[in-house]
Amino acid sequence: LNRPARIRLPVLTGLLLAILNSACSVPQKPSPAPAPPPPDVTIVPSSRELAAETPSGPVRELLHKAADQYASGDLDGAAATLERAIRIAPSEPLVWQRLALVRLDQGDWEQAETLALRSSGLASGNAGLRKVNQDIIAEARDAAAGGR
Amino acid sequence: LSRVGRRVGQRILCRAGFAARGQCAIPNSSHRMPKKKQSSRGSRPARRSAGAVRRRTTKGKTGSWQRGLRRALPAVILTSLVLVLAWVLWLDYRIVDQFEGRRWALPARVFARPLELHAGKGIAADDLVAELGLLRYREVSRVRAPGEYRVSGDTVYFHSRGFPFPGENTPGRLVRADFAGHEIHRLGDASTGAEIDLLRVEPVPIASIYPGHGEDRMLVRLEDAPPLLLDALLVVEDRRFRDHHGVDPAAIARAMVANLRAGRAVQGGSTLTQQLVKNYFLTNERTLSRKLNEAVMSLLLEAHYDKDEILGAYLNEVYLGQDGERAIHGFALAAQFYFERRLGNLEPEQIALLVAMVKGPSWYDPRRHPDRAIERRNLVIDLLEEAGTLDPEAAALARKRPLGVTDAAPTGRTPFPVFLQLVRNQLLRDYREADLREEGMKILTTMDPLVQIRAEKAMQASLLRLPGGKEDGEAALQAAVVVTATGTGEVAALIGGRDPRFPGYNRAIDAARPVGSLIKPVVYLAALERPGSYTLATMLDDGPLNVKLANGKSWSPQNYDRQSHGRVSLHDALVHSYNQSTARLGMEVGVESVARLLARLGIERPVPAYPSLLLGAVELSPIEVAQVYQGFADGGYSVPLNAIRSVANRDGQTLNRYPLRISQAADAQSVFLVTSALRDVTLQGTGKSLRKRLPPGLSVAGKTGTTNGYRDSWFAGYAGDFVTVVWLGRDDNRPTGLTGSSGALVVWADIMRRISTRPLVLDAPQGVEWLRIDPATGLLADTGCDGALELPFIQSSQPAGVAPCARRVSEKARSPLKWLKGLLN
Repeated sequence: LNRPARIRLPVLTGLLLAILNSACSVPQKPSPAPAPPPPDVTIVPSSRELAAETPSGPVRELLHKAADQYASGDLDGAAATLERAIRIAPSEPLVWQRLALVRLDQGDWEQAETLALRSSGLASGNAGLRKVNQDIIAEARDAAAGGR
Repeated sequence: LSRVGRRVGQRILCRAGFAARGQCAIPNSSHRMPKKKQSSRGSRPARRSAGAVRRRTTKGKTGSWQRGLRRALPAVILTSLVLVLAWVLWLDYRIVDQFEGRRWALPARVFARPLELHAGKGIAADDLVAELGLLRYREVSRVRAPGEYRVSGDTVYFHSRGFPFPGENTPGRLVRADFAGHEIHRLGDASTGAEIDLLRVEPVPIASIYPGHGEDRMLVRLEDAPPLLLDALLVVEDRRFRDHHGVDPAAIARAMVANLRAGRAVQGGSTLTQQLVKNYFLTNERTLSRKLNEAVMSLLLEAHYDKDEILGAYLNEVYLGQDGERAIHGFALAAQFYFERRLGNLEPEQIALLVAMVKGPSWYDPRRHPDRAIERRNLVIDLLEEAGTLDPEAAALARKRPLGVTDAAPTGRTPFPVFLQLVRNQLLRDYREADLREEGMKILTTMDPLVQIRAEKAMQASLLRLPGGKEDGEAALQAAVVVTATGTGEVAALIGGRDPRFPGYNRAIDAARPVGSLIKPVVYLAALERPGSYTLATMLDDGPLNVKLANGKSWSPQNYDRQSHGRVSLHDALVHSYNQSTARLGMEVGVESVARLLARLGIERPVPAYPSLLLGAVELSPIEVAQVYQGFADGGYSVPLNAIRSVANRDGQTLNRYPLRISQAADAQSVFLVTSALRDVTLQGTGKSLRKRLPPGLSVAGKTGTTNGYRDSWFAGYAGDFVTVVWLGRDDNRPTGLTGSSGALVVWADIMRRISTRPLVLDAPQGVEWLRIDPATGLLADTGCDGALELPFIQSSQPAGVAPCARRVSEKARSPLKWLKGLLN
């Protein structure tokens, strides 16, 4: 955290690219929930269960497409594709995180941070995903504070 | 003469910036040359001779009139020349202006959201068929061409038309969708058998924004027009098009002979260029001077532009029909208007019909005069066969085919004027009115036509069942509905009055009314944001209260049932919408912080922080209420409501995207507590009649609102996919006799029942735990307590004490930690 943001940003961007692509080749499913289910209120399945039921097909396809657009430098296109994925699966934390990454790359620190927070809010059972979100938030805050 | 006129005209046009590119590049010197010649030969001697005439006529006594005339002749000729020149210049200016300007006037097209299909999508076969119906697909027994579909049991086959929009230009394909109940079970390509992960169906056009003169057209480029169409036009209308200079004297002579022989006008000698000019200045006037103007303009047009430019303009300009105030221009739009097909997908006989109609679109209107139309169409086919454009077999086949026009013309008037108004409001922040009307923009909106239509039907049906809901007229019970998508804040449907087709007063956007108890969740959220002071189990005093106001008066709100309920939990006060305890809570939290929270949730208008705000004495429009509840539905994240996804220019390049931008208005944990209470409103509280109105399993959260004297009846709430706000009331503000639960809730339930596919999910965020609470004391309960509630608590804010009812249970049933905690506190 003490390292200057100038050095960390490209490193993180490289990491993000790798994540974007890896996420597509290996479908990321939320890890089994360690937290106990809420008592007596499961009138309907939890979002975690829904996410597990949701066919990963369409969202994964869009993540693929966004990754391609991201890799080719078409950040606006990648963002539009991710928004399309959000419309299909608004409670899928991975998609919100990817959008946060794109905004980070575009220098939109405020959106990057808020989107990452939103992603974490949906990812209560996925520590790995939340860790990446924390990195995005730290990165965005550093960059915003550094006036970059 | 016309050449000189053209040069001078060209110079004027260049100066005025009107001329076509490249035509102003001629060096100035070459322009001046003829001018010099002209002036030395023309005007100066002319002035001299005119003076001479005057002098001599006054001086000479014996000058004969012939000599006078001979001397005056140059002046007369010169004057005529100048007049003719001025006339030609004027015509030149007009025709170039038309050609350069008008060929680009294109209405803006407004589209609904594209329907996304994938396996697992919550959509019934009927919904897909309804969407295809809106796209004007035709049901056929075997699907071959784009725009056709077939239903077979639980399977829908259709041939999509492709998605010609920014970011994705996919061709049409033959699709097979297998349904299982209200869900797509499998989606595949029917020709290859391959699975389709995700398919975006082309969006339904919902409106056009026309140029002021009502002209409607779709552009087609010359190179994209079917070759048969171009051949047919030349064969039928202007065989020597490639050779003449705008006017074809041979054709005129031929026509004159034919007309003389027939004794009436049976044949026209107009070239395509003349017809184009005629179309530019469409009037019914048939005078010689008009014909002359047309001929000169045609010569001028040919001098300025090449044949392909003229033919291309003709394809898009020619008048081919009328739909009310909307004039159908160009072959591309005509193909859609008559056959509901793209120009490139027309059959030979359909092309022949369009070419046949050029002569008289209303006389040969295939819908009103099919006999005339088919006769002339077959004449065109004969001509094409004679010219060798169609071979005899193809011609014979074409003659046998029916006209093929669709029964009803697609209307140019939007069925969704209320939503269009929202779109226009948003567009006018970024574009000029003229750009909307003439630049041919493609506007992709967020409207979901299936949701919109179902919401309209539900509103109309349930309004009729309400007391006073049947009366019509100015004092009628009115309604406004806003439906937005969770997560994105996209407006899916909008209803501005009891007649959704009426474009008048848009109550969803423009009617600001007191919101009553709809404000309460904001008051409670302001309290629950301080978990150190308030939890859902905090006990409140619901006794009478008296608040001294700044103006010296006092404020004593009462409960709806005029009863006090003693000590009630914060949860119950919200669930049963008690006014006295809410006002007391709001005064403790501070009216200012409630007003600030409203602003954070997206209310831009200034909200005066008077105590009466706590019970909803603030006027908001239904769309503003939706903005506030969007924040609750999205776990404290606020997203500005949005009606447009993107705007593209006529070439399909994106001009503007309206990206998703979110802000954190409140913390997710506190919002979760409010949502859980709003869910209980719909199970046990003022909205409990929803239990019998909604299908089992469709969990929702919401709040009723009623204002003084039953003037406004509100319900606002959300499920997993939509936030919906319903307002009922009268324009003259007379009482409706309806509460939020007896009025708006009924409409709300009917809408949600039809549109919602995802229930509300109460999935506690990190740092929130569910505990069993005794409602009488607000303390921790146990299995021994009757009527205990499960309530969520933000970590380390749970009640410290254990309820008396729980103490009857054995020690083992309690966790040692909580037991210990209870002792320590």
